[in-house]
Amino acid sequence: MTRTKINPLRLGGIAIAVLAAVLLPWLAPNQFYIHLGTIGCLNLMFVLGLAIISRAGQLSMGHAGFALVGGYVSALLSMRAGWPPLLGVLAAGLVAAAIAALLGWIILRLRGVYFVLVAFSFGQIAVLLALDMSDITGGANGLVGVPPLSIFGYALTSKPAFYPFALACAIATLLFTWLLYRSPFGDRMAATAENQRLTESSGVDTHLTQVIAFTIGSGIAGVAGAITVHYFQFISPDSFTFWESVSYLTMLVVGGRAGVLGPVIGVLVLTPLPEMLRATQGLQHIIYGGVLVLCLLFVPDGLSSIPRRLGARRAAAMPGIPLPAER
Amino acid sequence: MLQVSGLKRVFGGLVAVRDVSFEVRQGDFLGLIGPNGAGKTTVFNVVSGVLRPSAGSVRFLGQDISGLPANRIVRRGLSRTFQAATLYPDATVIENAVRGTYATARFGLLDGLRPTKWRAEAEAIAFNVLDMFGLSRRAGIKARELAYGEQRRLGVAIALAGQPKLLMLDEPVAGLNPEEAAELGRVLQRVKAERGVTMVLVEHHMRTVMGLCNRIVVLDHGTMIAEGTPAEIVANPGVIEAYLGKDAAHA
Repeated sequence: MTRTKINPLRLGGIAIAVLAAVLLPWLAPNQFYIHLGTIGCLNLMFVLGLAIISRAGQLSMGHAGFALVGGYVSALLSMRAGWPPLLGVLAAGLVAAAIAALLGWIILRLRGVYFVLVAFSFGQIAVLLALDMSDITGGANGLVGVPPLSIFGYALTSKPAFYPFALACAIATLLFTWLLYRSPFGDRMAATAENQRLTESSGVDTHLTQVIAFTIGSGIAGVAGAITVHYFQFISPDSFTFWESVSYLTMLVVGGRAGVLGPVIGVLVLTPLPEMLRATQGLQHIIYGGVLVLCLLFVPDGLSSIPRRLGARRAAAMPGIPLPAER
Repeated sequence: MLQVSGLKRVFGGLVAVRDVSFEVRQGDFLGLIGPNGAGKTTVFNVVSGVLRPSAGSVRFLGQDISGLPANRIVRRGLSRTFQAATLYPDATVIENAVRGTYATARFGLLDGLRPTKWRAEAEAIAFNVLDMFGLSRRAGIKARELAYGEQRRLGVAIALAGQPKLLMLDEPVAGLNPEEAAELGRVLQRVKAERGVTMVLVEHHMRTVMGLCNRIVVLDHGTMIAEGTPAEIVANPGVIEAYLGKDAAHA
């Protein structure tokens, strides 16, 4: 099928996008833009994690909860136990994934709105626990002075030094997600989302499929949360709240849920938008909300679906195109 | 091949199926009939693992499968179709059939890096099945764009793509016009002949059942009231009574 072939035009587009991202520090030699780029890379990891869960047909409103857990795990391991931060990040991912696997095994039998509610509660509980266990987590004050990430003894303390690391992590996550979607397991995830009963009747353990997707997605959130904490060198219960979960979901919906391009577009549009709207003073939130409503109204499948929609319109206008499968 | 014995299923206080026992032999085309609410679909759901039995057992190929989750039963070679046109509406027809091959497909982690390989293998099987159902020319379009009759055929094709040994069909001709129903019946007979698939048919449509099945099991009010060849069933006063009422049986 055409989908599995790599289009040279698309390959060129990807190359240009990656090159632009890599060259950002030179194209925009400004601390603020580089900071925004780093935040964008981290957001992309969160949104891809959420996209993987949504690919299997579930909506996690507790995504930030896993980021918070990951952030605290890595911060505490590097501050109290003296672990190298990079190892802490890895541990953060594993802990978040383990919690997701356990929680998912129990709650993913719940359908639709119930899973959303339980996942939401998980996010809230994570915040409350971080506030309450103040002798470990520092309570509402959080943990100050989390050590920076260091690679081969080179500490990533400055913004320009951190950006390439964040970009590499984001691209690795993107590549992983892309491969996952094309794998036999990714196919089963998509089938489960589209018709769970039929997929179950085709011999797929759909519960296990959703648990694995939830585990992978939440594990990515844990890793990204930990990286974020080492970037800011600070974590508090406010670092990852319900509003972060909502903002990841918004990026996913605005960008599009179908492929890996949607999260990229959602992050590219919505990471800088609040900053650009800052000049409008009080209107910022109203305009942001307006953009969301317009997106949901006119491109419900996300911004990434626009080229396909235009293509479909053109194809509909030209009847008699041979079916791709008639070979 | 399939032994159902003493099957009982209770919903709350309602006994939907009580003490149903029958057997499906290799090569059978068994019809499961009965008036509305007789418990046909419940029997079907219990056998295919969608529901757990309240009592009794289901044995398939000599092994007890009662209470196993549906996906494991399918992987043992017992597939089913659904009453409504159940498919993946937004996927292409070929993709729908590819997803039917999950039951027999094996994959490893490495297959994630070679998407063309597993896909080509699955598509080869899927194409073959689509061809049997006269759907290969429609392979590239979305399932939702198919005509209703084609959607029903695709539903059966998805189940067959998993290469089952026993295929259970839940009212496959419901909602089809007589020509479409006859066409689907012919396809089913051909599939049976070519692939040696044993079939169980739950059906309202008497003509289809009488024409296709070699043996028939009749349910009424959750109990089995008759079993036999089509000729025996049409002559059975109990069956006539269940379908047409007491007076008709005496008339």
